[in-house]
Amino acid sequence: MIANKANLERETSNGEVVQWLPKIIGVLCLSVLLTGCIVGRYYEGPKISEEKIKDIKPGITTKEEIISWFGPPQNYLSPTIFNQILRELDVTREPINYYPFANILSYQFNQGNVRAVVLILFNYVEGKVKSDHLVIFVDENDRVKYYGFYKGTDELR
Amino acid sequence: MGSTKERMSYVRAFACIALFMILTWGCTIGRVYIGSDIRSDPKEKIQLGLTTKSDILTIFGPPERITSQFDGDIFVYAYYRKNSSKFIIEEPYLTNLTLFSYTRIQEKRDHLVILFDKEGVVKNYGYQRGTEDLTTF
Repeated sequence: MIANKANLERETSNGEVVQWLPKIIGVLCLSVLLTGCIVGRYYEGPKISEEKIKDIKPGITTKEEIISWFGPPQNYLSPTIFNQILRELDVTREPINYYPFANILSYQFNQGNVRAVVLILFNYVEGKVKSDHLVIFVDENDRVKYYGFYKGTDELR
Repeated sequence: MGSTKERMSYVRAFACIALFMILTWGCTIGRVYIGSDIRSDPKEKIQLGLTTKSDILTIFGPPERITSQFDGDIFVYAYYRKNSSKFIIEEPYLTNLTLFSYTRIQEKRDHLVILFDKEGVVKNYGYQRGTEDLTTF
């Protein structure tokens, strides 16, 4: 009789253990499964037309054509010290046409991707900023001297 | 009978500890990438006195920055990366007590600076590859 009672208590205790384990596992799983996901996108500047880049021909294409194809350049740089000083003082924000000695046209499109996984115990955050960048050097006759283009936003795919 | 009760108390204690840990510690890993990797090894591609500005634009693409000096232009290429890791144990609700905190932030960049003469030929260059020193944690 006593032995039977002990067995019954042991069975009940084991049963409680079995009841507790799923709860513990459930809490642990919840901690992993309760996730938050963050996705962010950031775009800056006009997109650079790749089709038009194929039409750029050094010695032939003019500055006017470049500006009509791609719009006003975002950055302005000149080899003169005077203009360098103007840039340092942030006074060269006017359109490119105001500066006939401009010899570098620069276009940039920036894209930023942010993604994050937020768990209870672990968080992972990743941010990437890539740029499509076109730089065109113009000679003294306002024709393209040479240019460089790099499509950095492809690296975000 | 005593052993089963002890086992039960262990299970309850384990559950409490698990719950406590869930509420009080966490780990955060962050990664930041700005710009593009420098596409070629300058040591292989650049020849002083021979490589032109046009060659550089073809090989490396447009620079991040152009600086003009009285004796020629300077092209600057940069690729920035930041790795951060944070592990923290704290009680955020009642006491707001931080028991342990570990933070590691690494900021590295690859830097290529190319100096041209007035004719647009490479006069000199400097190259530093810092992103190789980044560690995972």
